[in-house]
Amino acid sequence: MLSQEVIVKNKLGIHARPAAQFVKTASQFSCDIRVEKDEEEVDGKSIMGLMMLAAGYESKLVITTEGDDEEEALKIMTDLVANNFDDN
Amino acid sequence: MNLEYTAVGLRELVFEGKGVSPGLAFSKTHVNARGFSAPDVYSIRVDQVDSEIEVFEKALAETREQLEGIRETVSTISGDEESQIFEAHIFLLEDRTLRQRVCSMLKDRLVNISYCYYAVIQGYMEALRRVEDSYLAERAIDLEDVAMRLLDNLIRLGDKAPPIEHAHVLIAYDLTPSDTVSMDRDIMLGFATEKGSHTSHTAILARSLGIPAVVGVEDAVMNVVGLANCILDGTRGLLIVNPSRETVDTYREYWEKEEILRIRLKSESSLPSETVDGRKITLSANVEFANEVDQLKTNGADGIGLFRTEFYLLESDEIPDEDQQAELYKEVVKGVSPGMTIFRTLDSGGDKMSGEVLETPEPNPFLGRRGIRFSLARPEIFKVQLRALLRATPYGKVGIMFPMVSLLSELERAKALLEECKSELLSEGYEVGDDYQVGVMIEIPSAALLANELAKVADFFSIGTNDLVQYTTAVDRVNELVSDLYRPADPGVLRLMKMTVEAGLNNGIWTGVCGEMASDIELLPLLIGMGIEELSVGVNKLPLVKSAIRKLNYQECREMFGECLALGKAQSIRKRSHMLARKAYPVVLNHVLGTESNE
Repeated sequence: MLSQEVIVKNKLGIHARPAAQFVKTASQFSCDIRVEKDEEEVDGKSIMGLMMLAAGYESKLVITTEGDDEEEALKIMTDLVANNFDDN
Repeated sequence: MNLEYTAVGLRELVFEGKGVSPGLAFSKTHVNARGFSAPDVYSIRVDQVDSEIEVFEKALAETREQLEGIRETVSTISGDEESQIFEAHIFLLEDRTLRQRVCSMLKDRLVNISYCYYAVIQGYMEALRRVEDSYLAERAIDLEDVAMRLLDNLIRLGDKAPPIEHAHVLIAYDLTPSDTVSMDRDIMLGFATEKGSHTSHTAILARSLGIPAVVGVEDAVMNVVGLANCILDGTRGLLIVNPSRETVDTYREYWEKEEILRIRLKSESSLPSETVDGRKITLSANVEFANEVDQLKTNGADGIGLFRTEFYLLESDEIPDEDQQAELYKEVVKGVSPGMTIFRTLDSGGDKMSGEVLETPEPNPFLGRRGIRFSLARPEIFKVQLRALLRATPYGKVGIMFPMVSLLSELERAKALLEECKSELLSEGYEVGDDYQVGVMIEIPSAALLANELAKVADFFSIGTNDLVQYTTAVDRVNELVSDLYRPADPGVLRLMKMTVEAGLNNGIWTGVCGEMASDIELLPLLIGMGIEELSVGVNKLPLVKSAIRKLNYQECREMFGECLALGKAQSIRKRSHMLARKAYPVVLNHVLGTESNE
């Protein structure tokens, strides 16, 4: 099980579109992916969960991966958030 | 009375509204959320769970297809950037946590899948709206968009509410008159709506059906679940969901007291309808459904003072043809004989039946083509009704009454058409009685002011107080902002009524009252005092009104009414009338107060 902290840098936060990007990317991995914010943890492959986190600009997330491809998954997922979900 | 105690742990919820039809109902809730873009709620059996999930999967697949179609179109027109939101919508649609929650709600609660989906989505949307980040909060709209699309598909794919089979109290945002017509009155024990007022048509209907109703119950549709125990108190304007043991016990006691009074009133209902000093008042019933006729005699009616034909005529998509109408009218007349049946010709428009089949919307329907205006403009519909009514005349005493007459020429034209129909029928070999009466509703100030001229052409007057009050005082009785200004005891209204009665007397014709005011026993002394000869009230109000008539003294009422003519305010007039009523029938008056006083 691996974890890493990452800060949301896109101005509008994780709304539907970035959340969809996240889920789409996360779904390519077989490992479990969880996202935590303010002690609330959700399934990283569920867009509803991500939206419910209400992660706005500069909120702090902890991404946790667990499973066969956990290492690669963690890198890709944290990069995605750090690179603003290819959003603005 | 069948009353269950609510399981421990369910919190009692009390909703306050405005009681518009007194009485009590103890039952299960049935929530009809239409008009709120939410689905109906109903329970399903365990063996229906799988097929519900199947429908859900199908709707998901169809919705996905639609969204992909939209995404492609948008992508072609505006590029990938714009179309990505629809990709997000697809993810929202197929979210696995959402699906799990919907399915587990379905299995746990055993209510229809559309409602489960709606409820789960509402939960998410609520959570999103509470988010501090305003942009993210606003994006609840994405979810709503997807949800509405799926619900549309779900409902189209066969989430059809089965006919409700259990007794229930209906909870809805609003009810159209056609809703109230189509509901099964054997199992609908009362209703609570978020909209409406004391005088809206649905409230009138509830009173005529004798079922409790509460309107203006805020947020009930969202907060009440289907199949919960409830008490509907139409007298106090309360809807109590999940009543506690104490509440149930209190209500049981109260209900027993009401029952005793009801039985007492009913036991007197076969006595003659006359005042203590012997003035005879014809007591008739307002009826909309032919099956109400059976109750007339047990409730002590002399006849029908108002048969509202629009319910029958506009209930189905097509207006019944002449033979069908004639058959119904005949049956009613025979059922009421030897009493008189007064049919009001089609009164479409205003807040009455939708009339959708007939009319395009008018900017101000209350001042539009209502009642006789409609009938005269559509003789092909009017003449069918007139012919059918005339064909019922050989079977008993018939009155034919025209609504919304504002001009003498309207009455003349209507009568000419009636004559035309009569000679047609006679030449075709039909039998037509000679002694039917033609009446005019007095519900527009110009008609009251013109009563002397109208009386020369008519056989009777029936004052429709609801509209007369509304047109005289310029108060829309359905508008909650001004409905407190709706005062039947208004001095202007009383003067118009007095003019009508006097014009009738001078021309040898009788005047009755068929509006709501006729069953307001606080104002009954005024009506008796001004010389009204006939009162027509809802079937369930007959015993109450008769008992009140039998306690009043006509001479006293006359004197009181004379004094009231010198008063300038509705409140003071109501007070005078109240004092006389209180002296004559304190117990019954107490029984109805709390719901009936508008002033």
